[in-house]
Amino acid sequence: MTAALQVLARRAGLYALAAWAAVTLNFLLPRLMPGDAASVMLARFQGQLEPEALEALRETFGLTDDGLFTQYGQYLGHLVQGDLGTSIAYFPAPVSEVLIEALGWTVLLAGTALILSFGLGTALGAVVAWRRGGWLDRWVPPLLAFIGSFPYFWLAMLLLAVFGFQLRWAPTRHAYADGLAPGWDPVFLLSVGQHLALPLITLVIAGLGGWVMAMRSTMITVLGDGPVTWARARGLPGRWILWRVAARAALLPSLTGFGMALGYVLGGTLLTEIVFGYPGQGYLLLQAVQAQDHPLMQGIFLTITLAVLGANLLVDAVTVALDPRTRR
Amino acid sequence: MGEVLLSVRDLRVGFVTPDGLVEAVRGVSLDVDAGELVGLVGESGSGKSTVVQAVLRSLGPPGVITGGQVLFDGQDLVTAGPVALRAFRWRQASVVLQSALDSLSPVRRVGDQLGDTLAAHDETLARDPGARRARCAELLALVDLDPGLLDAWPHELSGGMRQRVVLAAALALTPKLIVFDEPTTALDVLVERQILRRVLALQRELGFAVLFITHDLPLLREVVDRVAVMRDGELVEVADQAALAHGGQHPYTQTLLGSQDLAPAPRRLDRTRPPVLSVSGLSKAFRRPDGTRVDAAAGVGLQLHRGEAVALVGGSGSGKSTVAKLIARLLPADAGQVRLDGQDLLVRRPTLGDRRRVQVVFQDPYASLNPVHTLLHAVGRPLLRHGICTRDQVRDRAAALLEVVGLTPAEDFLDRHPHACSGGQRQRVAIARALACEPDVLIADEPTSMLDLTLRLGILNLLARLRDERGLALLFITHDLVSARALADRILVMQHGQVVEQGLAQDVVERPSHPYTCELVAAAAEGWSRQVEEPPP
Amino acid sequence: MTGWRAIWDGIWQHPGARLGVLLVGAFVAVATVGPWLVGDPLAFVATPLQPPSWQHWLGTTGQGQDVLAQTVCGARPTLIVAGAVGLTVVVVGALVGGLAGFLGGPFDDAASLAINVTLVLPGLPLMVVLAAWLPPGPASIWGVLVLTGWAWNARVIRAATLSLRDRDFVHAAIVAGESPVRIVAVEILPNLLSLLTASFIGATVHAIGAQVGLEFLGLGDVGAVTWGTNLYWATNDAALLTGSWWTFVPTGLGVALVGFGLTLVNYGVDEQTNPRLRSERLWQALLGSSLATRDRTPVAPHLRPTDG
Repeated sequence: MTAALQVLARRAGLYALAAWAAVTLNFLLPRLMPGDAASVMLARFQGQLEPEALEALRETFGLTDDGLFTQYGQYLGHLVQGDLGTSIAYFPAPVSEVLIEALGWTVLLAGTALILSFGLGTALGAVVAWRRGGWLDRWVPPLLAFIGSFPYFWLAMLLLAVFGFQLRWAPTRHAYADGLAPGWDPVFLLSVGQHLALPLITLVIAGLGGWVMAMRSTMITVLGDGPVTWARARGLPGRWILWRVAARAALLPSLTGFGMALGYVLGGTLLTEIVFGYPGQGYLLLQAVQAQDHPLMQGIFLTITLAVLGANLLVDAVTVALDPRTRR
Repeated sequence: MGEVLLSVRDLRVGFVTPDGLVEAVRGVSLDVDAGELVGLVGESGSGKSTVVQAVLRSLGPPGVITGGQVLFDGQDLVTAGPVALRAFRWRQASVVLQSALDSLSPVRRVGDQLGDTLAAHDETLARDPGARRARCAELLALVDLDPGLLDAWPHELSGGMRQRVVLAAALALTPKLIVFDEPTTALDVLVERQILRRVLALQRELGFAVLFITHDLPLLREVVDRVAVMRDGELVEVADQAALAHGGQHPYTQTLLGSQDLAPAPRRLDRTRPPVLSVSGLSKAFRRPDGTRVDAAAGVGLQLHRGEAVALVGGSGSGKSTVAKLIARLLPADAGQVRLDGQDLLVRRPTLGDRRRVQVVFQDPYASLNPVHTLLHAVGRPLLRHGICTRDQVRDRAAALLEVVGLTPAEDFLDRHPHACSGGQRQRVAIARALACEPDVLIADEPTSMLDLTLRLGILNLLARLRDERGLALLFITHDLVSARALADRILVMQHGQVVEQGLAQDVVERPSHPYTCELVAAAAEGWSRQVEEPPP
Repeated sequence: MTGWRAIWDGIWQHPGARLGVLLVGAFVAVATVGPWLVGDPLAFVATPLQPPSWQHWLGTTGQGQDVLAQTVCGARPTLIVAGAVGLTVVVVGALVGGLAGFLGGPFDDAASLAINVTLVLPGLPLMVVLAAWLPPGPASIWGVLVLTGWAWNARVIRAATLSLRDRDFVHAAIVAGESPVRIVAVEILPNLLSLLTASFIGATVHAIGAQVGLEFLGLGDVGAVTWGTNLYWATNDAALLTGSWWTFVPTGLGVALVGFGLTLVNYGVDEQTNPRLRSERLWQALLGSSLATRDRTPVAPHLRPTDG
């Protein structure tokens, strides 16, 4: 198992470095802007915020009069304790509090959408590659590519307009019906499911094309490789060659692609949430941008980054576990 | 021998390309009798693999069969439908593919892959895992492998073991014919012979017919019943043992058999002056992915005088290419000295002047010229880089160089791109390019191994002429003792990174002392046994 | 063997890619000439939220502006910024990726680290925090997109360079004493022309989407007329609530058609990068669907080889 652990350790090291880069970027950005960051900040919010808010803002950014490295140390110290500062849009709530609940909703939506679209897309991609040149291959990939050319949030707008407002088949905002109290009871869960439906369908349709094409191109390479040629020569039935030999060989590279696409897909998810008024991190992001709530923006950036890095590490672990070559 | 098992009649196969349908196999007819060993021989591009893949109907796109019949036990495979083909495949005839090492899927266990082969064709075995496993164990035993390997992953097996697994799979349904499609792509003559011996033993035991495809005719010469020689998509000759003993009838067959006289006239060489190139203690070690250390070169030393050709000979993995790269400074050495006219080059990074004095001709004529540049650019750029001439003189100088290497009229060639030239022409351009900056030492790294046999002699003669006319010091890297003998004054034999024997070419070849050298000589003997038996002039 | 000419030929001969060229060409034409043919996109022309009619072919926005004018005028800035990003990203990627792949050693280690870290950080949140600190406008958007987008192409080009690095013509250039920058720029990159073209197209497509996303959030210059800001205002003016689909559908269609067109062109370019694809497509076309099976070699006695 040493080889496997070595591989994982290197990946974990990379992620740790990326996390550090994100954290440090957050720290440096306000200080990189021309002019004294503090006065810029103050000038922007002059007259809009009370003195306590301004002071809290100053503290959040650690814009004290200490040296740069001391500030950095204080900043890291706060982070470790989970203190991401105070939000402006939701003043006086701390950023971490505002984020936590939203994070849960985003993970629910994004996670489900990813698993569904990756699963469906990969299977479809395998079949399409197998029947290359047939009618399936001629129409499905271009159609999916065309649908995928629309921005995620635009598809959301379309589906919302048609199914939400026009046909009234689905609710048009929030994660569950107003007035319901959160709990594990069936009524609540059903409401959650109903509100999840449209955003989920949007994300799955929008993302499907990408997975199909990625798997298709991996499969095409695999279908030209030695093992498939040998399987064909041996007269194995088509279904066996497709699933047992080819798709199996294509699985590992496509998992790698999955990890890399996570960040990108998440971006589309955030924007989709906005359209549906879904109370996830995307919705928060919009509020933050509109209110120029930098602590919240940076908090969102940090949590999303850590979530993506964590998910990447998980995917890497699965990939290593599935690959017999890394076992010793 | 027996009755006719496979009868190929006037087979025609083409490939769809952007320029239209190109014919790759033009009316080939061939018979294989039951229990026979038939060879199908030709160089790369001859169409031999295409013929066999078309026979088995396993040729993929963009291939098309455009004519002919393939009769197996009376049934025409060309007109057979999917059901008939399924019954035929693997049960009647099986294949051991080119680089069998790539045939095993790395993500499935060996036993599963063998088992699939059985389950796909045998209903009872498909339903009974126990019986299936037992049969797989039998198959492994047949090729001298431990049945415990059924649970192993392919990457845990060595290359040779994987090859035997693929052979075991080919034997699974006891077919009447087994096709071996260039089962060894390695250049190492010794490995090829081991494989062949095993196949012969199994054939005696089980009685199947063999169609053996290879580019190496001498390999098969003594064991085949018949051999079919292909060139450019056509069958040139079908020779039986009697014809082969006479060296073949068709001139092309004779070339493939290597039955030409390549021994050069003896020369006198002035070795009183100091050597232009002196190498000592040259070492380089690599680390494999699993951490083990491989000594590609260990304390290698050699000397080269002006106007002399020295051959560095060895099998694959002997370290000869590494030594060439170390001297050419394409790889950094771990230790040692490389002295040009007494001055050690390795003490500093290569200067432009250093680079000018040592040039290289590479192995692969299809990769040694940049496809996007014209021949003028290829040959002219070194002229400019090293200040040999000015910009307005480049064209004339480059033309002169092309003429020296035999590409006349040079004007026709200067503005061409490499893809419009043949392999032999490209190799000549590569030599011209190496000569452009007027080097002292020319390293030729297997310059002929990727060329057609008919072209090799021409290149070797060109190198010999350049050595004599320009006083070049030539370091010739090769695995082929025959060409080494043809070109070199002295031969150094390498094995496992060390020089195991050296001396005058004639001495090394006729009176080898080290066991490895003896093996190489024996393996090459088929190629020029006539020379040794011929009385000296 | 592939020059610009060959790439163009390859694109034009692929039916899908040809359609893509026409699509993209049409939009470029609209972006260039269109603004002179329509009215002022910011002028108040009629009652807000009017559906399409003969006076206003695509209706009016929530602020009474002409949707057609906004869609047409929005094309130019969007396409220019996206094209600029695509070009910059490919040039940066080619230099960094090419040198890293060729030189190896510490330079490659550092470059690969930078590439991997940039790739692993999620795109949109990073773009947002960067853009939020910059003054709104096309220059900021260009900067943010280049900063977050250079790494993907650098990695692809690095991988391609690695595959060419041990070819003998590269060795020959080293032995001839050429400098690393010259080898990368003159020997290696010209062999990757179709890959570079495909990268440019891919980067441009991605830049359109990312740009529109950022502007949708309100991080662009909301006073300017671009495709992204069109969608921003459509949401702000409660298009969905009122069922005013015409305020966002045309712009979305524009984005999708240009993106799809560029993707189609890339199919043609891919055939140049991988000529086997082209041969197989021609094989498929020549034999027709009934004969072109892959599990057994097709037999076509009626075909005659081309002489030449």
